[in-house]
Amino acid sequence: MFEYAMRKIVNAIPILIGVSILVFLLVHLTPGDPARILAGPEAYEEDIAAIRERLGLNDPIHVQYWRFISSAVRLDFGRSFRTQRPVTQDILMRFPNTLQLAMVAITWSVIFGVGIGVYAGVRPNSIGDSLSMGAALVGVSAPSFWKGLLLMLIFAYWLGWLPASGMGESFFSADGLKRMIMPAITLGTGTAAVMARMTRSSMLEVLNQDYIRTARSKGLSERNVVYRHALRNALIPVVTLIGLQLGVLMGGAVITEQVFAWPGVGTLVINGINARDYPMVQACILLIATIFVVVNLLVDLTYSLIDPRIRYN
Amino acid sequence: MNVLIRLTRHRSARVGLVCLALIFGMAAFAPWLAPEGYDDQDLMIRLQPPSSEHPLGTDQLGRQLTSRIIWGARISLQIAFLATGIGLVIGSALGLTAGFYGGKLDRFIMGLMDVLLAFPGILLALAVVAVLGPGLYNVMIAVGISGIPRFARLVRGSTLSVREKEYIEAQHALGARDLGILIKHILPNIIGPIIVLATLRVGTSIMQAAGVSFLGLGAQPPLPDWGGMVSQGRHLLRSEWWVGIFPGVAILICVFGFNLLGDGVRDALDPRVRIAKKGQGPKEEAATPS
Repeated sequence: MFEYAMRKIVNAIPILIGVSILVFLLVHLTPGDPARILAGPEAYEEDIAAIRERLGLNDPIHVQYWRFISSAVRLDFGRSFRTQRPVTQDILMRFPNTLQLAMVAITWSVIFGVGIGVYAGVRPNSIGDSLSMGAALVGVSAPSFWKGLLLMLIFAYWLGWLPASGMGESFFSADGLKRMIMPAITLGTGTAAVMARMTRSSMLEVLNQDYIRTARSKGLSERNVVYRHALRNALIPVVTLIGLQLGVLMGGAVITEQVFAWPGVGTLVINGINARDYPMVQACILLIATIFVVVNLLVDLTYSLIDPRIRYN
Repeated sequence: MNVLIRLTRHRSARVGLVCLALIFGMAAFAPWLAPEGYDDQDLMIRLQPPSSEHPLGTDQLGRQLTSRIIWGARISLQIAFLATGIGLVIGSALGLTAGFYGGKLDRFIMGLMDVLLAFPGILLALAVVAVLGPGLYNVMIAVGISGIPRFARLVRGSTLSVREKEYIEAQHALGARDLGILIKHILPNIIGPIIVLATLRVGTSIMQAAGVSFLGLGAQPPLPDWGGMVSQGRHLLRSEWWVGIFPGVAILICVFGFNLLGDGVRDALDPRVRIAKKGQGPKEEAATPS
């Protein structure tokens, strides 16, 4: 196991380096001079030159990359072009909000998605199966921003049950919980749908295995067969999906946060792109991509614990 | 031919084809179907609710939403096919090269693909748009780039399994050129899974492009881009809900159609499904268009 884990960790390092290079190049591939953007439209050439010197933009590119990466590992991404505050400070303030949203979304989508998947999987080709899988496909096919607006229209404007947007003072207050409901449903619906389809497919495969037939022929109750024998094995591929989907949710949060004016990292990315605030965009994208890689690594390791066959292949 | 017959008998694929016939019909016959041009404004009838006179209502500039949605089908399909095409062509070329030659080249290409896969799809598209700037064609490129690693990975895997076959060795022995072997002998034998992924990617491309447009970084007004139209309608949601909701329905129908068709194509091309239907248990995989 240790050897397997080390191999996986070592494999992740070049990917992280590659990600950092791409994120670094973001500024250098973009047309326009970052110093000019920072200085503003009416700045003198001398001021722009001074800013170029201060940012080190005259240095060779590998020197600039080294400076970028050595600062990044110390969580120093410079100052935001827009707010002039340290980028890390802004991100640290917003990141917990995005994480909170993503965690609530993944939790409900796993519970709901796996539940629906098991329900459909044990009664294939029934009306319930067709209806739930049809609904899952609609869930996958509807764009998240539209689902968010639809929820907002129905539950905030027509029924008046939930606040339309914004984040509460605290997640653990009644207001905070109410404000979390619609963004979490919006963000998690696609994941729940994918999860339901995957669980159904996995259940169908497992329920056709010989050991399930043996369990049934021993006279075990159907409930016992499904939940104690089939579900455990059917959930193995679902674990991988949870990890992959967490990354997808972190990316998807960019859109959901815009819909519900949720003060998270996604909003920082979009504001950053619109204002050409490159330090902010670089830091946010690097953060989300790094989380994606690390979560996938953790999923790989968890997967090998749940299913030991993986380690030997 | 068998595949086409199986596809037309597949229930989901049939529903998908109906949805897509609607969208393609709108795109092809837009000049005849749309009551007006996509940017014909009439401020006297701004923000009219749906009625027999204005079937899907009008927007803040008095433009018919029916017309804009019909014209928008052209833009969405254009984005979808071009973006998927970029991913398909470049990704397949990289995957074929990596799988066929192996060694250092394989490690380099797939390492690069792993780096691209480390970015969630929409985030990679946003990063590319951040570099290229907003606009219709830049969104196509951005969404296309985010599809490259998925095609590359799939094609490399399939190429690896085919390149050791005897008929490929025979071609080498006959002195065939590598490019000829790749195009004439390997590609036709791995085309099935590529078609399945491409069909599913079309839906994903539409969704990603709509997401980028919703964030204001896609096709710019007055182009009737569905994602952009939802974005313009969101500030009117409380009182004039139709402006933002109906274009979203169009995206849903389009993506739903491609996903159903993708499921159907996969089942039609997968021999295991036919075996399953003969009594060895059903087989279905989850489409993950994100």
